[in-house]
Amino acid sequence: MNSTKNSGEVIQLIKEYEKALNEKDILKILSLYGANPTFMPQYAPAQVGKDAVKSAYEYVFNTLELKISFEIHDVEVLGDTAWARTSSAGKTKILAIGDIVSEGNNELFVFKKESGSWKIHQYIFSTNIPR
Amino acid sequence: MKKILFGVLLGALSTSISFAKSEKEAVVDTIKSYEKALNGNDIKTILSLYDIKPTFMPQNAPAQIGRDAVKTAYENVFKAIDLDITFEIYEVEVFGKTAWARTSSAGKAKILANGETISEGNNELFIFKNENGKWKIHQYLFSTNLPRK
Repeated sequence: MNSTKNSGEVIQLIKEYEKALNEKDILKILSLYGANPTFMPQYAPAQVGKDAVKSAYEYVFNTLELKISFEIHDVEVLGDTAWARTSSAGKTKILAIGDIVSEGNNELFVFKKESGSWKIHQYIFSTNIPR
Repeated sequence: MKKILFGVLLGALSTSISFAKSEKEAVVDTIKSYEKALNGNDIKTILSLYDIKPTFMPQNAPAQIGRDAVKTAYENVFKAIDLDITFEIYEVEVFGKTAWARTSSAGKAKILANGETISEGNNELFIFKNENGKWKIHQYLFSTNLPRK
């Protein structure tokens, strides 16, 4: 991992996000997002604002059950802003049919420090599994 | 004396504002150059817009790390498709020698294997680094925003 000093709290946030995603814990996920976030899931328009982000995760969890691990490749802290590059890999259960498929993504995050805590400000992912 | 001080402060403030604005504009210029080079299948210009140690994350592929990997990835893209897309820029923030931007792009892609033209639409997140006074792409990930077929 390439990381600047003071990256520890950002790394912790990513680990909390991983846990909440695997546990379908929307309340926790929303608490990890900032006041004015953008979540860019694949196959959908950018979800701007906390209400849109909440609806997007509700849709995800109504459709899928994730069991994935994040690998953190880069973290850079720039004052009250930070960014990170990660990848995630694991399994996804498609709830409609019960099939379990491989899941693999690249991710890019921008974080903001709000009232002393790091929060997700921008987040995009896309699959890294061959078509 | 107060008036002079105020004038100096105002001058310093407007200088810092115009400085910040021009850095933001310079990042926008890099995005616009990238759009043009992408539509022009211009790998040489695209590589000149990437920094010394870039990561490009195309869909359906592992992260492409380093200039050689990025070059090969674009060669593969241009062997497969001919793009005609426009970027919309939503946010740019500059912090010293680092910046980030959120964009989306929309347009058409011609699939060279069969000549078919399809709709193209993506969200993008960029991290830039200022290298020798020029804003370069350091990290770049795009993800389709079109519904799954």
